[in-house]
Amino acid sequence: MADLGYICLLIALALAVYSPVASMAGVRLGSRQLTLSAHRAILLGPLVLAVSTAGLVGAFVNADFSVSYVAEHSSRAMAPQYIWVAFYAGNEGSLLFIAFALSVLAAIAVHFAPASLRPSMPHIGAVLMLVQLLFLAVMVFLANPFARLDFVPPDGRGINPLLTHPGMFVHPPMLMTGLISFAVPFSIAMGSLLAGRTTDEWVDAGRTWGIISWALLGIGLLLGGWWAYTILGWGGYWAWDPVENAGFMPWLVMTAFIHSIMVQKRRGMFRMWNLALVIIAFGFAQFGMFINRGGPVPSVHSFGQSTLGWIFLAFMGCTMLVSFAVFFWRYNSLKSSQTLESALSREAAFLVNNLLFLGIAFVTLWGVVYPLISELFQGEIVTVGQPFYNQVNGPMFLMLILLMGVAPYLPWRHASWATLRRALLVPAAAALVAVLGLILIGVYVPWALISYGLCAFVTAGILREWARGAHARHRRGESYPVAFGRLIAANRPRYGGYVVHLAVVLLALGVTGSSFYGIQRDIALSPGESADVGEYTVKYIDATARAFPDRTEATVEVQAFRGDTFLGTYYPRRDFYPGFNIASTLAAIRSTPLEDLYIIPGELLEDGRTILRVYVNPLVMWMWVAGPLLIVGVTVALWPQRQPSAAYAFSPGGLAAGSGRRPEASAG
Amino acid sequence: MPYLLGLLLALTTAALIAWPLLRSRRASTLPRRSALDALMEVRRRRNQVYDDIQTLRLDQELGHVTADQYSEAFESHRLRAALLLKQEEEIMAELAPRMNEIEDEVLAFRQKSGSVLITAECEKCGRLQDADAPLCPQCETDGIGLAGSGTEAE
Repeated sequence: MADLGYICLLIALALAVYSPVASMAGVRLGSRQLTLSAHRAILLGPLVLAVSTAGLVGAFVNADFSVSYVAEHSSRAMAPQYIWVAFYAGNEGSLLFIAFALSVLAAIAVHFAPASLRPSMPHIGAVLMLVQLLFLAVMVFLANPFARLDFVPPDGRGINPLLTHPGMFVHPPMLMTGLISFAVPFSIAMGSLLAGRTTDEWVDAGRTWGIISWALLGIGLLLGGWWAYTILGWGGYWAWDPVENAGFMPWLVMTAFIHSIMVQKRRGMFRMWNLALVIIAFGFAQFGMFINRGGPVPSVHSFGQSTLGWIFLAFMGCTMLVSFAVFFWRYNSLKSSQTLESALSREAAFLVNNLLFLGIAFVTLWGVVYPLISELFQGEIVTVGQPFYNQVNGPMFLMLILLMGVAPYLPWRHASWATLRRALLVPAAAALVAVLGLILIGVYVPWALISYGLCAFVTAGILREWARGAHARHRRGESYPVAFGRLIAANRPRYGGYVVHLAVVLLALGVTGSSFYGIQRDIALSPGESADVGEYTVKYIDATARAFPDRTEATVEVQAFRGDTFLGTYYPRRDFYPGFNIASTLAAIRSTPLEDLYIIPGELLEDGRTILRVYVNPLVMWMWVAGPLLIVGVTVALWPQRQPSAAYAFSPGGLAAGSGRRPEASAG
Repeated sequence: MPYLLGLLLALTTAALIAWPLLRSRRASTLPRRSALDALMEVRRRRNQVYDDIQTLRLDQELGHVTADQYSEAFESHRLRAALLLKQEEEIMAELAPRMNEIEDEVLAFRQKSGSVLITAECEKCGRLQDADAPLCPQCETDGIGLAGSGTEAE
């Protein structure tokens, strides 16, 4: 199986070389056959790489320890379900996964490309396959996942214990797919630019793929937070670690892009800006690969021993250089005739939104590279900690939430102050009530009050929009549920966006609660003793230790009370893997909508006591609820709508007032 | 065995990629900025205008735009749509001869393959077409396929 996998890797490499060459030759010579042949090479990529992937997974299933990667990342003691995780647990396997994911995305992107992209398709396909070529070349020449050992060891080293968690089945694939999916909107933009299609033909496809990649990476980041929270055993979900930041920065820039691309779609403005954003977003995604694969910045979860990072850094440098060179080559044809008519308009709000997102991204980048800069200029590594990010990025995030509450009320071109004031009355009143209510129950931290006030402001605004829209349709005779459903069906991008905004509000609730009102306490207890943490009482009952071939497990039995109410018995666990010299913890988490009681076992002391670290984390559950809500919002926003005919568009009460069911498109 | 499978896969892949190169070279010229592409672009922009009108109407219903703003923006969209429709008609007129050629080729091919047995003349423009076609491809007149008005194809 492994040999077949390697042969397929070579075939995929040949396809990745052939496709861009044939595409460009086809364009140059005006040969449709050549471009069609190149197109087929893209479509065949996922099939060939699927066989290659099956080859590596098969080697794991058959415990083929003659394959170096299998020996390094699995063992006979490993639970069989973690074979899939072991497949991408190391550098080589994760590269194969990324190449496979990119091949699938590329095939979907070129096969289902809209007609407006047809003239640029050879260029778009060529850019996609050049990105693919990098990953395949790195695997074939530098990091072969099918490389054989000179001898066959009786057993493998085993999987990294921190990866034996259900979250690992989804988090890394989602994160890797999310990062590499940035290549698709980038290729669409660059391909169109290379083909000389410098107006707005690429906008719809660019927006769709921008949202898809944004959602994939966003879900990947959220799952990463959930994994960190439940297994890394430090009570938090985000530590501004370089690798976390490496995934966060492209996500921030892509968030800016999926907003500003709407300005180009609606007004034909921001053409250069959008291209710059999509190039920067892809650049950040490559920077993430650099950091993740042996970059110079220390991180808790990068591929530590790898030196491949520098190749990705070089690729990032080349991509940026070539992309901006093409950008300036087409500079004159990118100019838009439209201008910003008013500072009080939706496009102006999107511009501010973009500046804030970019600001956060570059502040984060500064934090990531600061250790390198300090080493270079001061001779010592100075790392940037969480307080820096919280102090600088926190206020910018709050401004973004404020903008999220105001921008939906701003129409395109220009708004009037009177209309805006009227629209903001209800959300502002809701925010005021929320802040007063919080003060009454004892919330006094100013930043928390501002944050919760803004969350109420945004939520009230969204609910008001839904209510007003549904009510307008209800006046025409539709029942409220039907009116609501049709309102959303007829305006999917806008209402899908509102659902995503609600998910962001939930995230803000969790982050604010746990940042300002979290409690942490370390306690050493003998069996039968108890201690108070906030409103909770934690009682240590007993501890048991068990030995396994690859680890020792120390399980602690604790009981939790709130006042006199018994909440339950919990069994947090601490495992130690001597082969890796790694300890992993399985926290006991009692999660409620209001707060989480989070217990991590420490070491068992010789005098029979155990150390427990107990957290009370308010509102964290809402952060995990935000994930599915985000998926719902993105699905609504991307769900295809039929194009309306002219008669329908101009009929009185058509479109927005219509039933949500559209007639077929006509020639006009 | 893996090498044999690999070789088989490589050959199959090569054959699938080479297939378009081995086929007939008829109509092999890749259109550069063809009228068809221009038509697609004009239609895309027209649909965008309809989409903008939808957004404008929603904004009006939700009270985000005043009546004056609405009227001004609506007129602007209407003008844009009218210009695009005019452009679309011009491109269609430019494309018509080539489209007719293609229709004739398709009809001849279908007659040859036996999938079209009856042809009919359009009442308005006289174009010969499949009697079952709902519209005349030339003038888009309805009812070209009236029973009994056609001639049987060989």
